[in-house]
Amino acid sequence: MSAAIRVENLGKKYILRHQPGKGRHRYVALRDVLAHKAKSLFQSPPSGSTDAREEFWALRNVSFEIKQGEAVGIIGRNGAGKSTMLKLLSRITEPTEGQIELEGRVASLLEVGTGFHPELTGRENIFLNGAVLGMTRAEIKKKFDEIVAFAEVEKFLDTPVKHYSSGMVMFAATTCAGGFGAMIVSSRGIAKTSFPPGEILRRQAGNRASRPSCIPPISRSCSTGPFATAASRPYRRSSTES
Amino acid sequence: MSRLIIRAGEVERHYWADLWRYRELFFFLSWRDILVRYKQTVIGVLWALIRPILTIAIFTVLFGRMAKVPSDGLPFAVFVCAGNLPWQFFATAMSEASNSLVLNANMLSKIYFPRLIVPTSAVIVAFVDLLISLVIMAALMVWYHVMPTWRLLTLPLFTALGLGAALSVGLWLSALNVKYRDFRYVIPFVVQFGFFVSPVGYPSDWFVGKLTNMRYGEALHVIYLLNPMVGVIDGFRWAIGGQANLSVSIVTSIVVIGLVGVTGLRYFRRTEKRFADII
Repeated sequence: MSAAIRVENLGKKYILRHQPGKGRHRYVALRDVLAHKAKSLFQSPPSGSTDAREEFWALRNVSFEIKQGEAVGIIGRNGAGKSTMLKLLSRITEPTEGQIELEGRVASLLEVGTGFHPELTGRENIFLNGAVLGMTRAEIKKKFDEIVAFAEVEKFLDTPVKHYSSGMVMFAATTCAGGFGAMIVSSRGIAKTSFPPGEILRRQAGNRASRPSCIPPISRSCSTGPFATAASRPYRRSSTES
Repeated sequence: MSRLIIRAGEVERHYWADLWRYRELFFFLSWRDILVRYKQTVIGVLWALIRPILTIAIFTVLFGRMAKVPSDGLPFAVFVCAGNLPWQFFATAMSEASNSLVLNANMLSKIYFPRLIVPTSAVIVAFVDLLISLVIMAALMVWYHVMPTWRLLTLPLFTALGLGAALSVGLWLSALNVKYRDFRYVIPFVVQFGFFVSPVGYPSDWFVGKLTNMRYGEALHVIYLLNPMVGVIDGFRWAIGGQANLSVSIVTSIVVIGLVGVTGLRYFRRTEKRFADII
């Protein structure tokens, strides 16, 4: 059986900037960049530049394979690189090194309800959410009734989502995600993310596990794993592995 | 299903194919913004008509009746309308497009899709407003008995040129806005400033005539022509039968829009893959 997802020597590097004394800047201002450029024109060597740069490897030397039909949970402490891993697999950011091979379509969802718009009705949001996950209109229509029935929002289908209770929004969004086969789903990899109900929520908990309390649901819904992300910082080596 | 390989530094290869695959998302994003645009307003889409109508009315009184600015042989209201509609489209499209990436930051950092979709759909939303407000122009032409000639058939070309102008400027500004939020403050100023240096309330030829009589007139003339909307607005007026002198402004506008568009697309594509990291 061929691997649906194969990752080889994957690495993602971020550059951290420490600005002493100034506190954290919310964004780069063009003014600062220009001022800095102008300053460096007149100062001969870049001696002791104002911000110290530090390289930070969020992930490095990560290799694994996931076969068709496998459900895999990834756990690790805060900052271990779980989300970065998902971001790389779903092509939100570009890897610094290494390579990923994917079979079929990837729809990943790091957070439920991405693309939900408060002013739109439940019906409209379901369509939008499907499109956000890369579905065609025909595919969405096929799943529509199932999702509506399961999310128990039939009565409020044409009410703007901003009038929903927050629990309802979460439930509807989660159902959408599950119904459209979200998470890391390679269409030949973890193809059956659809109903029954408990399954979705369990999957949801599984993929977002970051605290030990989530481990039991993971082991229930995953066929392999859970395995911990290999991280570059030492303390994480002590995290759970099985 | 095809096999997808993502290598470090080689993410770009499938870009145009992806753009096609994600056409549904483009459609849905535009559809969402069009739906949301006039939600919870009493008069809804009428806003797309009222704003240009009020501007046209004020300009007709101010420039037409009081200042007696010439109007290319057209009734002044029609003349202002042909300048105001493309300008208002450009201004809205440009400001919406440049804020679009930042406004959709949550999507950018959570899912993958060709980012080009976001500013483009913002421009399309403003374009729908333009199409709606073309009704005003038709109504004014009927009211003032302006007979359309064969030239009206060229109007779609100038509309497309306006679309190109908004898109090319929007690409630059949206990408720059992700990194330098300064542009959020620059854009309202550009819109306000541009309103006066674009031939919205006066004919291009009249303005150029006054301009070249001034000191450094020739230089100012060149700067004036660099505004891509000059050609578009002149084109609009020409298409509905005005006596605008098209030759110079339309050529320079096409060249300027082409240049800004190509460089904008390149800059956007180059910075795009880092959007999720820096937004």
